[in-house]
Amino acid sequence: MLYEIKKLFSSPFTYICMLVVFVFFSVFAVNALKSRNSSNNAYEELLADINNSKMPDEEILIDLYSQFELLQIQINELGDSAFEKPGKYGKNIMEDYIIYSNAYSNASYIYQKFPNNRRQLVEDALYNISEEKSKTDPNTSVIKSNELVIEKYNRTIDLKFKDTGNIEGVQLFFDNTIWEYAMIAFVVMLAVRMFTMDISCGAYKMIHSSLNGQRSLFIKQFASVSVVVTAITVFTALIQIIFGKIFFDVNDLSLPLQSFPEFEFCPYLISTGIYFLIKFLCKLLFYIMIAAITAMVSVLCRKQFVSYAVSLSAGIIPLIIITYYFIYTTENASALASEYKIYNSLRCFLPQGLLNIKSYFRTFDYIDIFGFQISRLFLVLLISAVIMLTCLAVALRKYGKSKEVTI
Amino acid sequence: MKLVFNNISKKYKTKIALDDFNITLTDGIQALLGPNGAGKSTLMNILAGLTKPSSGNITLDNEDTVKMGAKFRGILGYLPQNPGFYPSFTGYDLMKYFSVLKGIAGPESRIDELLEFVNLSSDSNRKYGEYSGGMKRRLGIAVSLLNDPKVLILDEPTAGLDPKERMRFRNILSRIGRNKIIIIATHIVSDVETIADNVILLKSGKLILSGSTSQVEEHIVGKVWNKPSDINEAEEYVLLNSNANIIKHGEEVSLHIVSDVKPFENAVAAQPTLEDVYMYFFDEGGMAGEKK
Repeated sequence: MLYEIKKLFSSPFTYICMLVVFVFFSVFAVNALKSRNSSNNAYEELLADINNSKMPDEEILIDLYSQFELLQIQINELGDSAFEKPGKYGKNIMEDYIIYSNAYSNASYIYQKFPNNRRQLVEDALYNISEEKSKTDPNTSVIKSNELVIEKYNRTIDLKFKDTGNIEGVQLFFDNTIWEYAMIAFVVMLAVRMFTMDISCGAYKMIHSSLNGQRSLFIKQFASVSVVVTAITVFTALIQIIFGKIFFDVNDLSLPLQSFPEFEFCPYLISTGIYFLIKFLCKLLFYIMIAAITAMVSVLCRKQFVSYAVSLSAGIIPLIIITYYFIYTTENASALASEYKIYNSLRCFLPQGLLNIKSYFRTFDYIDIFGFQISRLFLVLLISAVIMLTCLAVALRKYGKSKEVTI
Repeated sequence: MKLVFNNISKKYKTKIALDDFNITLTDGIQALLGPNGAGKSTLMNILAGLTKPSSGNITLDNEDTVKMGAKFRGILGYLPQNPGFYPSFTGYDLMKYFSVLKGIAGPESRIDELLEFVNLSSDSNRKYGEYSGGMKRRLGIAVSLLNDPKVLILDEPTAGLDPKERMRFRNILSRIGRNKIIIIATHIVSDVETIADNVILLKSGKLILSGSTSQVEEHIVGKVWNKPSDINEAEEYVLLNSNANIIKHGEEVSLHIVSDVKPFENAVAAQPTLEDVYMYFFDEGGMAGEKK
């Protein structure tokens, strides 16, 4: 397999493509970094004081709100000199005001909004079930769906009052579609190169007529592409984690994902670290699937240009479509229900949904299939795996069996 | 060993590349002669398992080579018509790579031995892209011999080589063990004339004739002629007739003609050579015959 990897890197073109990928990565990393809020030690100091005081939960909110109100009054009285009077935690009263505002927002989410909203969800689900059951012809899908809501949202999740960091900043750093385009192109380039190089240099006849020059070689070649893709994906994921810690204050990966308001309605009991791991694995599966599609196209048609064109189209066109609907429905207040329906269907069936899995974790994201409640994430994972395995099976069957080849 | 081609045919949409090819080959050097487009490379590709025949099969000691699969590939050596390798790999790297592909354990001594055999030891650490045409072809031969194959296919092995390289190639072939079936597909008669145990003539996908060199030459006894001539007459004749060539012995010039009938009154019957056989059967002017 080492020789197969060596073949991949025997051309300067591979290095140039890798450089392009990392340049894209760096450009968007820099942009994401620019949008971050700087680390606020003062905020953490306030949180530490509150946690150390061992105040009961109900008193924390009241205390924070009263401090927040007090500071508001002081700022109104002081005017511009609020920036000059030293604050308890921040440099001045105005900074203290912002710190207490953030702390109150955090606390009210943890102690009020989160538990209340989940309680409401469960109550609504119970009501829906009883309403449906009272009908002469109850819809079992509706009943099962609401039963699943109760099962998922009735569980106790212990959120801590602490600085969770800026997970949105971390996701901005890594969920950028243009960087994904670059990575897809790189995966396609690697796989086309691997599966057409033997033909383009004229070695394929001697290779495929050798003892280990058929299926076992295909497996080694595909494994080599997968190893390189995995290495790059692991590297960029590690950068995300490290940058997340250093620049976006995401320090505690054991926190429940629901600690972040964006994931308030996540139905899964997972930590932030597990979420990032799932995110990484989903991306990796997608890239390996693209490599499998490219391998199949390259083995079948043996022509570099056609392989590039078909594989890039398979990778990028659906991504453009799903990204369009994502932006349209999330940023367009007048988006119609039909457009949401299209977007939800795309997320279900297009493997490109794996590149940004946030939407699968933000809400109760299940659909009814033949009476079973299946999560969209599970469905898209299954479809991606089936596509990957089918392409690999076809490629394996046709590998080394040449019709008369033209390059 | 016995390699049997049973009714091998290969048809494409608009062309029949091989037409009901039948032959039995045993140990020794088999020269497969034919012009470009005769079907030699197609036959080699089928034997190497790279292309499926439209009909027919090939057996080695009564075992179908397709069904043998990896077992057959394990005893096969193949040097295709235009072999190529990765330009950035050194000669030694390529030998190591193919030793893995051919399933050879502990390959270093075998690699060194073969590089010495093809006179590439001193160039083994140079990149393949820097090799001359002759060096590339010799490396190809070394690669094809890595697994000490029992069936060795060499498809146009000397095409593009200079006379010195071609002589070197003939020397290499003569040193390879005789307990192999070596098939050399070529249209360069002189490369196989002195070393072939068996000659197979292929034209338009059909087997024309096969046998030892002397047996094949026997077929055109009384059809090869020499005629003393002067240079002007000779040059004029060969311009108009593709079945002739000019022979010069010092100041003397004669026409060497392959023809079913005596072309001139003063023409004298000559001893046929394999070159004459090639000209007789593959001349565009219509000397070629059907399978005898």
